[in-house]
Amino acid sequence: MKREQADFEANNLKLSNEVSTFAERYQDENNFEETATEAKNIMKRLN
Amino acid sequence: MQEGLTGEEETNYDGVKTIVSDFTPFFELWTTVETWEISQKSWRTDDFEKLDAVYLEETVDNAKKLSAKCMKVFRSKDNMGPILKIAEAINKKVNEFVPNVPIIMALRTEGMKDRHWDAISEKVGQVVKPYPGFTMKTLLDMNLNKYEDDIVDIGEKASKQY
Repeated sequence: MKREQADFEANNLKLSNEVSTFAERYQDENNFEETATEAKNIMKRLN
Repeated sequence: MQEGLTGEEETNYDGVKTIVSDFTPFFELWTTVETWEISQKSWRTDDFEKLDAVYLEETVDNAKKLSAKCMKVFRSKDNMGPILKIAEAINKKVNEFVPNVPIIMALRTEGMKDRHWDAISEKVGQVVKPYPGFTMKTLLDMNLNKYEDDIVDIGEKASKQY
């Protein structure tokens, strides 16, 4: 497997874990600015 | 694509598409909450005469659509109770605000002159005219919703006369 492919899949796994735990980690409406910033960061890495 | 042409193993992006699809409702919910809360704070505290009514209308429309979409998605998934409550809360806030939009749009019409403010003040029985420190909150506290038709009508006249 190419190095790039391995890195890509490792990054995907990391992102997948971050996404799957996102709902549990961020549930405080009062903390909306930090949560929105984190959501934008994740979406940027996905795109 | 290039990898395929060179005979190398193609990268499979299906996994990424699935992650994006799963994450989009959370992204949309939290960016909607952020936009809504920051905009509301600004609208309620900034001078009414600086309020961008077109942006306000777009923000309200988007927040209404996206919060409803998020509610639908989270209701269809298991263990989304706390997130669903946040989506429901923002949707409720937006829907409670919606009836104010026509009045705000009308009063932010370009072409509003003293005679239009005077006409509105006469209709509603209290002085309605921006002054330094007059904000959207000041306006909403006047509870003018029952005069919506009159205010919108005067706003339209002001726009035509502009």
